[in-house]
Amino acid sequence: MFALSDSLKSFLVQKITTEKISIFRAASASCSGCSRSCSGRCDSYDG
Amino acid sequence: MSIDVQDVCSEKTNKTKTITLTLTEACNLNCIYCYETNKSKKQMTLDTARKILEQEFTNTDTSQEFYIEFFGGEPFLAFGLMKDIVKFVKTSYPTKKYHFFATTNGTLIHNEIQEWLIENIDCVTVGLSLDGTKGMHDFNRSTSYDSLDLGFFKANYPHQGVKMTISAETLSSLCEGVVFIHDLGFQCHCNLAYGIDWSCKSNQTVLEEQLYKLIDYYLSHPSIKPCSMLDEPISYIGYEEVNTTIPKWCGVSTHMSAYSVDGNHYPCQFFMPVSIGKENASKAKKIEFCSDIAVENLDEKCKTCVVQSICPTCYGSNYLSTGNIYSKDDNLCKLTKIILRARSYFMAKQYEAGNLKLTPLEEQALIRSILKIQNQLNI
Repeated sequence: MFALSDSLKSFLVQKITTEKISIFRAASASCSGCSRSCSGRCDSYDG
Repeated sequence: MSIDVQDVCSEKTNKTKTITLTLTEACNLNCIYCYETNKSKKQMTLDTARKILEQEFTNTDTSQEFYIEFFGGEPFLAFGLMKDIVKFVKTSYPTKKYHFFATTNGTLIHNEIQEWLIENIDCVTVGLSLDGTKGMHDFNRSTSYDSLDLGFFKANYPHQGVKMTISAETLSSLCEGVVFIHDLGFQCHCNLAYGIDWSCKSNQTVLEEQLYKLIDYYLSHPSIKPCSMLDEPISYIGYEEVNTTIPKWCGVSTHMSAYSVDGNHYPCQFFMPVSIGKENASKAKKIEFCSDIAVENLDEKCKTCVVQSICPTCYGSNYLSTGNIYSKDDNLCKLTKIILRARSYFMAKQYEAGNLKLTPLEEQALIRSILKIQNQLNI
């Protein structure tokens, strides 16, 4: 289900550099999509 | 060189506090997925609202921003109160930074209410619930499509988008509904309804079919901003280390305070008596929320899940369905995994087509996240 073709996977793998990505430390990713219709403003709205 | 994903992801601001005011527990609709199962005709008084806001505004510095949300029931059933609250804040706190927002079913937004909203467009925004085509919307939302003045919302809140909730019954029309909303000129924020029965096994196949259709649509219409289901970021998992904490998903409790009609304080509207009943709401007051959740506190099925930090979740819905804010309904979990696999597939296709504008850091985080989901997320 929603599996990438081998060629697209290889294309992506080739794009990876040797740089190390540190563990992230950020607030929540996005809007949970609750019933409030606020589009994430409960946590992310910055005016 | 080490890449800190904190640089990749836009940082959340801590300067905005959301205050949700339940103006009324009454609603003029009876939507099939509504989790507010204890509605009544109770309405907040102006005195209660004033006391809440006075308390919230006290001891805050001038940089603190407030996002005051009118909620219900249907908040425009208490339009007089809404007007009084806006007037009170404008006159009593002219130096405070605030914005009002009302979550509405839209059916009452006509004539006098439209005029008032236009007069206050600088400080009041409304968010409309629109569940797709007329047939989908009418099925979910008490045959109310013809009561909506969609032109008003499009003309006055062009960037707000509409909220599309998908029920088990409208799932098979998901793609049609989203495309319909785009054709009307709106952005679409869509999610599966929380707190309903998703146990039917065929839902997984139907969701998969619908998402494939939707992905095809977006790939052939790259200028349209994809609906939130396919567009929310996945790059937060593109790192190698093992996580011991994950960020709390939404602003519940830490960034927002919700008040019931009688002025009692709750973590969000889902934890109020109108939603989960008096007894559960009383117990929920003792729940402690923090911005970082220890992975060891997660549900067993989430502890080792690769998407644990990008998995959309509703703590109120979890509490209602499982008694534990961190424990997600198993059926919703499976459907969410399908959505996240679809998102990784879609983003890979977008990347391949050159449709994404990314910095080198974002590119690395995205590619690694896509591959992580593709290789490790099993449904």
